Amino acid sequence: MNLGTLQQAFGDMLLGQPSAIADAIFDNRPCQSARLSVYRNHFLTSLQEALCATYPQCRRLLGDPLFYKLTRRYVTEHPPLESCVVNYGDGFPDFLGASEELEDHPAAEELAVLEWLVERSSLLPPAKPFPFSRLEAVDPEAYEHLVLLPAASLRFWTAGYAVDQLFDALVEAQPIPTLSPETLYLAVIHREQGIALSRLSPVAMDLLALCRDERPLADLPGGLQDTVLTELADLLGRGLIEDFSLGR
Amino acid sequence: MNITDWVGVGLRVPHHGYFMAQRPSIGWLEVHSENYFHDANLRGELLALAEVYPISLHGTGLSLGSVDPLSQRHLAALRRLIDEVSPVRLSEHLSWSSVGGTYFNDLLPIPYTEEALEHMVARIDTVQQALGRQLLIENPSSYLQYRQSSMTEWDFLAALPERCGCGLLLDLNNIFVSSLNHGFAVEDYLSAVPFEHVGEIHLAGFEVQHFDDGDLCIDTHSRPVSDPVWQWFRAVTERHGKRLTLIEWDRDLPEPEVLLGEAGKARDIMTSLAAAEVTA
Repeated sequence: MNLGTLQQAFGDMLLGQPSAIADAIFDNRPCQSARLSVYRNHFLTSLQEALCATYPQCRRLLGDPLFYKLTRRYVTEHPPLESCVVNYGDGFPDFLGASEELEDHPAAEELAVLEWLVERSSLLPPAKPFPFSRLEAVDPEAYEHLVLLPAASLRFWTAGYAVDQLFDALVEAQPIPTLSPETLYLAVIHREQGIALSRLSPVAMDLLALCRDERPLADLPGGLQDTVLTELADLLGRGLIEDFSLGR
Repeated sequence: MNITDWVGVGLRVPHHGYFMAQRPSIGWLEVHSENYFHDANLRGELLALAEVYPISLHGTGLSLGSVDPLSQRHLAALRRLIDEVSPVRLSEHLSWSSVGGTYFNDLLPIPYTEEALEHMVARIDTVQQALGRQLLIENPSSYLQYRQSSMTEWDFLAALPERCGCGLLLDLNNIFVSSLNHGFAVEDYLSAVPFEHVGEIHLAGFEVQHFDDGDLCIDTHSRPVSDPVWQWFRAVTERHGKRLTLIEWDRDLPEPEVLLGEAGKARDIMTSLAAAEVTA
């Protein structure tokens, strides 16, 4: 067995696949069966712990037996493809969505999406205060050329359940609400005070999508109507936008 | 940065606040490099601590022993961190972690063969060239041995500095754990180590797991340093002089004061040996 073959066999063993690695190690020592298990257990449990850290409310929702059963399967079917474990688990929401065991938890996938985005947001610096004084110097006639820049830690998305309610209930150990499918728009941002989760209107979603794509306000369908200006003021007030440029 | 206290502790995220607020007296801090690649906030805290303490970067994810290509992304992230932190030491492990693009989040054992030695030498050389710095390579703890190994771990380890100019990070707990798991004598290991290349020593605790047919020692970094490891630390320091010495504790993290207490024990040993030397 050369080095590459041996490592492939070891990897197969860790993933629970047929492997010839047992033939490559000394088998005349005490605890023979446990020696390989130490490595397999570490592989499974360390990555399950990483998923627990990213998805604590999913764990609470599903309960430990089901959560650990699912994470064990996820780890073996979707092991990390990079060295940094902090980036592990991005596919877990989709995995939950495809799991047959979750019929009783239809919002679990959406909750996992929320938790993943909360963690991504928390890795980035807190949002900076919007430079209102600099904006005051801009001629209102030029507002349509403004390109607003969302906070780097802002994540916004469309959810199919009121998972913000579910998330809050789980965090505060309150009774779990019964959720029906509904469309709502959510945003998460890292502020100096911590992570903030809030709802958005459809107009605000369009505005933020425009900002994310670094397009000027003039590109808004219908232009700068009063409703848009009201939403814009709200987004600025909530600190979701942290800078601007004049993109003529 | 000039280090006057040779003893440091492994800094883990839950202790960031304590070290930033209390700034306890300790010679230096060592962190796991990968924890700071993607988290801008932790990185900011580390940079603030680097203003106060010398920092050592200890890697766990470079997968030096793997036949997979070196991750250029990982190397680039490490290079950025090195540029920002200016670490006093840079270290990695004698192990592998990935195959076929899959990472196993562990320090897996390599066979001690000439093929593996040539591979490790080439990889360490590539990394040292890319980073423009010397790497210290840490001996692993292990739970199995390969039939095809043609040399001992200590002979393998000893060959690295002369072949690629790396240094060594000697983990005395790992040697002790592996000696119990594989039945070799710690003295045999230590007598083969070229101490002129040892730039750092690690001390940690381990646990014993009981199985039907015997016990295995697991390198959990979840306990105080064991008495035998303290004895080996005293013997090594007496024989070869002091090295930068680190207390590692990763699981079941205690209060920082406990960690600093362990560091105090290491410092006391160094001080008592220095006093004995002066007296003699």
